[in-house]
Amino acid sequence: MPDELRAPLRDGLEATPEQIRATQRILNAAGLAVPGWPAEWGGRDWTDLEKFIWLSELQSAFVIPPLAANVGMIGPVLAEFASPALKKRFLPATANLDVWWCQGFSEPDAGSDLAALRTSAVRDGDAWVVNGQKIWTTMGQHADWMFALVRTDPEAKKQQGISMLLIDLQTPGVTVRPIALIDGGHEVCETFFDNVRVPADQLVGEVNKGWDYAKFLLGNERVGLAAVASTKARLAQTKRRAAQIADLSGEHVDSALIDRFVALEAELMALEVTVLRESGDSEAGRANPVSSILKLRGSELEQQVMELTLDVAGPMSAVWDIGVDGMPIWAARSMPNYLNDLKATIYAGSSEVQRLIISSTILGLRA
Amino acid sequence: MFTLSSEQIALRDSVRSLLSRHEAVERTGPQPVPRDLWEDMAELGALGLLCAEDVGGYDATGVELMVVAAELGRAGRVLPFVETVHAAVLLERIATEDERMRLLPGLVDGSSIVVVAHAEPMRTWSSPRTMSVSVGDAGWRLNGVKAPVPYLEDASHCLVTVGDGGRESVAVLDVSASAGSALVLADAPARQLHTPAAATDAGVDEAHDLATLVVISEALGAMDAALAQTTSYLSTRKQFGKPLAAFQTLSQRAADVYVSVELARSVVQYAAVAAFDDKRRRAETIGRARLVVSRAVRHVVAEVAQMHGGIGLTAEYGAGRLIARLTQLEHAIGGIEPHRRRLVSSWDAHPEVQVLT
Repeated sequence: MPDELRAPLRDGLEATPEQIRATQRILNAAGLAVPGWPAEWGGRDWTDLEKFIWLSELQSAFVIPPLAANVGMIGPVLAEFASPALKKRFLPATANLDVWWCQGFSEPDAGSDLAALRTSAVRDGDAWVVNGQKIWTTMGQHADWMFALVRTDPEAKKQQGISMLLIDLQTPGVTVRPIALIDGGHEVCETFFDNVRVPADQLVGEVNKGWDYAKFLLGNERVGLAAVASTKARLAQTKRRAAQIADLSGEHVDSALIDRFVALEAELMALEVTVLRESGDSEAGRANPVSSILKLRGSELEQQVMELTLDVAGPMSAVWDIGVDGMPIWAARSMPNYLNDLKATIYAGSSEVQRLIISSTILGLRA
Repeated sequence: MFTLSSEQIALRDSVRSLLSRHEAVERTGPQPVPRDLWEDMAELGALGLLCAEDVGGYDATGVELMVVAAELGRAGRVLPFVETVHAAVLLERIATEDERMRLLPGLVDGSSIVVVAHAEPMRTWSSPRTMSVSVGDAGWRLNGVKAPVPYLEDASHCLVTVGDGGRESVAVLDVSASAGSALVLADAPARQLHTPAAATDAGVDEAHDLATLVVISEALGAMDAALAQTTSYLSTRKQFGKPLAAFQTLSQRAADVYVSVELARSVVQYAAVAAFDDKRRRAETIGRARLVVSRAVRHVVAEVAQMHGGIGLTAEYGAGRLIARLTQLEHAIGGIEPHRRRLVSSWDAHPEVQVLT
């Protein structure tokens, strides 16, 4: 992997769309972009343990991971549930990032309570007419297509009237508006649909089965697995950097900082062993307790490592801009990166949702 | 990655069944050894797991040790298992053949209790020892105070760590009918446990690490039992007309406790497998596991007490005794201090922790 494609992650910069695309194409050519997919579509039928090793290797080399929306989200759903025509049309292009996908799930009034979504799709001839609004669309401004959950039966019980549509974002009536975030960036967007006509053959699987596909997608996401690998790489990086910064005595790292490294390494070891301990047990598409443990604890540890990096940067964390004399990029960007990562305990099933899954399905605590 | 063999499952079941036949003691804190239960444990082979066959032992692995300790923890029984493993490994690794044969058979068959006397008043576990040695015509004489010495009233022999010119040296002291937990020695006759030239440091460290594996395994069993009692209590206890489980402020916290216990399970199993790895890997893995279990124990103790309310603080209630036992274990054999100290001193010796090897 060329060094210029690994520099952004190494330095803590946001990768550009061009860098993301170029990296995924190199991985895809090597057969390493979509290992979690079925073999028929370029996957390798890997276990979680094998996926974890793959992720760990990517992370420790600072390779930009394949686009989650394509590889971890819509790809497996299409491979499992879509018509042969949709698979053929989209899967190879999705693997190669010729089509850039974004997720259209959350709405202003449907966050953790996703099934409360209201964006509607009404059948009109050979098309579905979509009206409504999506929010928190990650990198929507760079995306070509959206996979969206829409309400196709307003009369049905809330989970049962939902379908999944594939929407070309160039279609008339679609407006994508980036949202300014506290880290100074625009990582997510709002997307508005005003009488958008979507061809009927772009509905995934069956009408009103969208909730099943969404559950499959979320069960597949394995966000926690990726977080363990990337947090470990980041902690190792921060440790090297801490040793380069002079304090009072000019050579020793503050002992309170060392305690934090020691504690975080131990906690990350626990999480990594948990991945290995359960790697034989998990089935794709089924929520299991380990997914919740990894997401819940993995996102907390990720944030603690970001916080430690920010503390190690010390006064340099006030910079934000890159290119200031004598200031390494990682230190200059440590504060926006910390602020950005506050999302980790919120997205992909907030910590509260993970605790609800654990308390109700594992501990049997019900109202 | 981790499954028990059928022999290990049989061992677990026989310890579990033995413990269920002995009635629970409604008492917390330091307490005398129940000799009948202790002898039954010996009969199962539990006391000589890490000893060689010539003294009646089993040459078992860290996994068997974990299995037995976890059952003790689950049952909430207060027995000198940590202390016995600590003494047994120390004897196996550094004792002269004479002392091995003198002390280990009794330790293994449960007829005598041998403990390590290491802690001293007003000193951390890692501080150099103040207990001093003078060598006279009749052998070693010890001067100083060891306290607290666990199970001193039940012990027949103490392995006393002494300051001996900067290295670890250990004396054997025969004791009988001691009162209290302090060993106050003035010119007390003792024997050197090992040959004068023996390299004792490695054996002392290994004994402490393997005893630590017992501590964290016992804690894991106790945390499992405490969490199970808590979820059952939340489901049955009603306030404001509904079960406590219906209050998210409690069910969300119970989920966090579950996560802490599962992460503890991961590191305890990992440490059990690493028990006989090379010295550095064993020490670092067990040390990190000790830190993770410590965080879990403190979390479990606080939440189990809080979620039960007053009943959780009564000695007659099982969960109350479990949290008292967990707190004892958390501070047994020096607690986290020696492990944290060791990890801090080598914090920059590795770029990252290698789990997959």
